[in-house]
Amino acid sequence: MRLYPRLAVNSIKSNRQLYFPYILMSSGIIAIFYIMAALSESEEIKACKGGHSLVTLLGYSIYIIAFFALLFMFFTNSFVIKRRTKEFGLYNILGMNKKNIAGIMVWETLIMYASSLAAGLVMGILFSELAQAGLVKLAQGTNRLGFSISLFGVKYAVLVFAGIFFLIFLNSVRVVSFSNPAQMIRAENLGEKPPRANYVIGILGLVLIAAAYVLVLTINNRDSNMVILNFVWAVFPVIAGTYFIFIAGSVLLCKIMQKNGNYYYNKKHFVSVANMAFRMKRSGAGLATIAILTTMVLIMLTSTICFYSQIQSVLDSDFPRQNVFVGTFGIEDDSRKITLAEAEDLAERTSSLIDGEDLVWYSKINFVANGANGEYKITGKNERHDAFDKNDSVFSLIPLSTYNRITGNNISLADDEVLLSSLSLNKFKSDSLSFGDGRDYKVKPIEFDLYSHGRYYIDNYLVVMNDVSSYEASASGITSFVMFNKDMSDKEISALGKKIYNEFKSDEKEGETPYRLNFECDSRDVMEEEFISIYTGLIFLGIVLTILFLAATILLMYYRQISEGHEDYGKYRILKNIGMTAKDIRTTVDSMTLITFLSPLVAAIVHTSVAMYFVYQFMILQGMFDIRSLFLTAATVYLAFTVVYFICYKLTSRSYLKIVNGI
Amino acid sequence: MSYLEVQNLKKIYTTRFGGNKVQALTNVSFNVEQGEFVAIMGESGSGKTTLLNLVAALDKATEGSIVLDGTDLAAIGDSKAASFRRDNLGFVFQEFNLLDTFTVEDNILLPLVLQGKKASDIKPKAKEVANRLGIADLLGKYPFEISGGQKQRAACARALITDPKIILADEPTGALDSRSSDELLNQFASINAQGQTILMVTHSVKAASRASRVLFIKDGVIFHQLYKGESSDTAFYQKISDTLTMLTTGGDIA
Repeated sequence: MRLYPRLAVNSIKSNRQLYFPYILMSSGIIAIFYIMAALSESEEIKACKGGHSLVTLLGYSIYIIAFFALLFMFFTNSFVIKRRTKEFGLYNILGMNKKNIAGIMVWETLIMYASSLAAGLVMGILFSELAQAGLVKLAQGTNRLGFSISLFGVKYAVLVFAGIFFLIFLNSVRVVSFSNPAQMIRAENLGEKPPRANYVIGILGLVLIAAAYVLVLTINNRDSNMVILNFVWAVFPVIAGTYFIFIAGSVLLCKIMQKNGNYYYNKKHFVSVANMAFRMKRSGAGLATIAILTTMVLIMLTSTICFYSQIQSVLDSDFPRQNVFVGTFGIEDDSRKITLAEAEDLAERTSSLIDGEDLVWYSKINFVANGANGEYKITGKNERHDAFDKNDSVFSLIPLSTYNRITGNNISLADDEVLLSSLSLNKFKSDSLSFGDGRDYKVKPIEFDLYSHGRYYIDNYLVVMNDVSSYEASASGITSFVMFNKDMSDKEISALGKKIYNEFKSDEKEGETPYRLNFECDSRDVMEEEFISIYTGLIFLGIVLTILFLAATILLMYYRQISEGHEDYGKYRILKNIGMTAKDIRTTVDSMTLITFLSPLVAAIVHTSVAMYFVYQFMILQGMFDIRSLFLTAATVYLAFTVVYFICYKLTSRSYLKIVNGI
Repeated sequence: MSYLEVQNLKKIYTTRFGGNKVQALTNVSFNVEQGEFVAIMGESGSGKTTLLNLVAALDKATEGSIVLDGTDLAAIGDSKAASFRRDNLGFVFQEFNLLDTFTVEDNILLPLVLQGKKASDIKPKAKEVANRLGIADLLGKYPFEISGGQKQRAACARALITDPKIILADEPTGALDSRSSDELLNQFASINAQGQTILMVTHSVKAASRASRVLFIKDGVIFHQLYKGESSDTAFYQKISDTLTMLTTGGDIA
């Protein structure tokens, strides 16, 4: 029984062109898997800001990695097996039955598993410290030097990849057992007609993509559910459409090129165009896969980097002070609405309990009004719960006295004058303002932002007027704010909250309806921790998945080049005999591979650019408004990716040229 | 000066690390005149394919010279060899060597496209050659749609379209049935009658009997040659056949 292992070793050796990259990829994936598993129980990461939720996210991402590992290795393996059908056919004809072949495969799988695992774990253990240092830096924690091996990571890598390799083995057996030897030997090089251009599928692809684009480009951030939902709904048609277009559209394109005599009968294009006309239908699917993987990578990288870079600016606008107390008050039995004066009184009393720097307190009236050009009608919607219409805006009203008190100014206004500050992206454009109650105000624009927490992603204006009391009745809510700077721990904040609560509790009198108090305490530190943990996790996952996708893309490219190289070897031998010079062959190969590899990149960049509109709308929902940073990040990511992509292309296209030149 | 002059040709193949040496051609000399149809016969391993590869500039001789119409093949650099083949030689192979991604027409046009000719100039030429070989109605088909004989005629058309100085045919009837073989050989004869020089390597006595001269190669040397002269195809067939018998049984030729 020494025969199987020996045959297995030999066949891996003689197919090293196929197996070496395969083992490289699987060990890379195992390394990544190990690193993620090791980080998910790392004490140093737990010690970072928001480290606990970061660790949980990493824990979940292990499953994602395992899923993609299965997917990529499955595809790679079926490619490898397909290239080897001839060999298996020969074994079969030489008298081995399928059980014997499966016996060889068992050993092959075991060897692959063992070597990938060993290499992967070594790489993983070496790089996990580096990855941890990077992650800790992203999470803005402190790095400690040290070296450790995660038994948890090793254990899971061993188990999960045993499972994956087993599934792959089953698939290989399935492929071989469903084919007959004669077929296996002849598997390649059957004469075939060039595929017909399938207009229906091509047009369907275009329609699907157009529909998906419309779905994304009509995203309206006034409806926060729609933002995510439209995007999710757009993903599937884009994937399907991309496949259709690559499969059918590319054939069509070749046909058009062939129709153009002067273009086609040119030695630069003649052979390559004819080759592509045949190949596109088959390789279209592969190219579409590359395009989609690339799109995912680009979107993931751009959005996570962009979000991460804006954490501080969001915090700056949300937290003018380190700590913010937000109170919404009501009367317990809703027998009447609370007045602004009462709310201010509560806010002032709260502030008297607090010992902090830069203390500010105030109350404001909110309502939603519908209209444009300075003419609005109050809608009675609640700005916190109700969905907005296209022309809805949120108005926050404060009395002039409050404004003067906070800013230290001593401004006076006529009764028909207001100060107005635009809090959202759209500036207020009119110089008059009315709410449909018969009063017209002259608008004096100011730049003033009290507090943006709960900044609405629709138009939001702060209005200062002499007397706001006439709008108390139509207000959807009266909110009070108390904010100040002080370094406080979670415990201290909740202790302070309790103190405030008790103060008002002791206030209650017999026979009077008590206030309904709803005080929220937010601290910039707490929020920052939360943000950083979320976005650090996402950016890290983004980078890891990028590496994974990139590896898969490179491998896909490489295998395509190899298989096509072998297919085309005979063709180029004939061409050489007939008198095609080595230079002509190189230009032909270059023009062919350039087109086939450029097309997925172009498709991915177009898809990503459209998706950026979604990312922008999503950013706005998160209170991020820096569109320049989005452009900049996207441009950088595109550029960097294009460079990496071209390096991969150069490396892999050389292997093709080598094969067709018979080196 | 003859049209093609082969002088003292020697070819030694060396394995990669200089170990074993195999002498494929020992000393081969012969001339081909313009308009001649010469067949080279010999057993497998006798060196006839090596000889053809050398004449085709696909390989370099170890010693000796090949001069085609005044051009010494040894003087052509590796980079120029391909364009030399393209401009001066026409090939017909045993396995047709048509590209299955091209239609018959595009296959025939291939050498002209490689020469950088314009589409509008070359299309009529393909028609003309196809007409000569009786495959005008197959131009739009793909190689897998036509028979072996038709494929070989398409390959002939591809070889002829550049008006080559010489056509080199390597076992052109090897993959054809007897009827297609006859048809192809008739084509060769008529091409030759129009003044085309042909050098053909073959196993087939029948194919060789259509040539105007037959060279016999054995163990890397030209062993014997026969002129057809005025004899009929059948008589020449008999002569070739006798010579071959002598060759294989080891007899000497007086």
